[in-house]
Amino acid sequence: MKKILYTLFVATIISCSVESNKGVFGDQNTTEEGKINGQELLVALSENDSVQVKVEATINSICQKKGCWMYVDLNEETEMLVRFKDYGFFVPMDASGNTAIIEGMAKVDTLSVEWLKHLKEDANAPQEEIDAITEPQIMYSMAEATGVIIK
Amino acid sequence: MFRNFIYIFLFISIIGCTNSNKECETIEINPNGESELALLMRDLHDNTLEIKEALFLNDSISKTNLSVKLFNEFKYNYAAIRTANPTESNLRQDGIYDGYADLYINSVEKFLKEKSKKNYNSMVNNCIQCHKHFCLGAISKINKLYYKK
Repeated sequence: MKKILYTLFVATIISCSVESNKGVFGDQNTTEEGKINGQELLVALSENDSVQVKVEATINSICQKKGCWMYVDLNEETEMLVRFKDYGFFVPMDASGNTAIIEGMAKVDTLSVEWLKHLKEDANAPQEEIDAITEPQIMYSMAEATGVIIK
Repeated sequence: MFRNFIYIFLFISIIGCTNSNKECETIEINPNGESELALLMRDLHDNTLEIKEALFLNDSISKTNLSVKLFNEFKYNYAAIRTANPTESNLRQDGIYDGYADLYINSVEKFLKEKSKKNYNSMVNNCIQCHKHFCLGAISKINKLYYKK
């Protein structure tokens, strides 16, 4: 009986102490149904200005101040900046490397110098790197993701 | 004795689980945890939206007076912008944030004296100016607070 008690105790402690960086963030009704991969999104964006999509991609970096934006890899060379609708939800700051399914409107966007510097600051980049930004950048972007599943 | 121990253990486990659910509710927006200032700003956003709806959008409500509850909540919140603990501990180091906070507080006080659309928009504008300096991410949300008719 003592063994059972000890097992129960240890199991409770473990279940209480493990903090997961996985789950559904934002719209809790977000599902994986109909998801496409990054390469498929790139093809879709070569034919359309913007695409309402659920895309599965690997998170490569996350805002280290609050978790209010993330970059995901669409393929080996191309990344997409994801921000969250109305600043209404954030993602765990330690979820880089995880797979995410992100729902929202993807498009090619021009990011201002101001924004690019801000992103670098949020990523705790060195000052020289921040100062080196002098021109806007065209990039793939999902500015108002409505829901994110992190696996 | 042994049975009592199990009962106590189960009781503590249940309490513990209930508390962790409460924590989940409060960190729903940000799984990384929110600072006092971030939470305050979310409240101020909600207060301001309510003010906009009450004064300018809803014809059935008095155009001059805010509800006592909303007024008191807003009054408490806007003043706390000077003292609430921020996400980044060095936010107040160079005085720039406090300068913006004072501009905002002045514009709120002006608005509360004369609840005009111009003074309301000036209050929202001061939020935007501060966010342009410190946190661009929230600007698209704050922009929606402007009275645009």
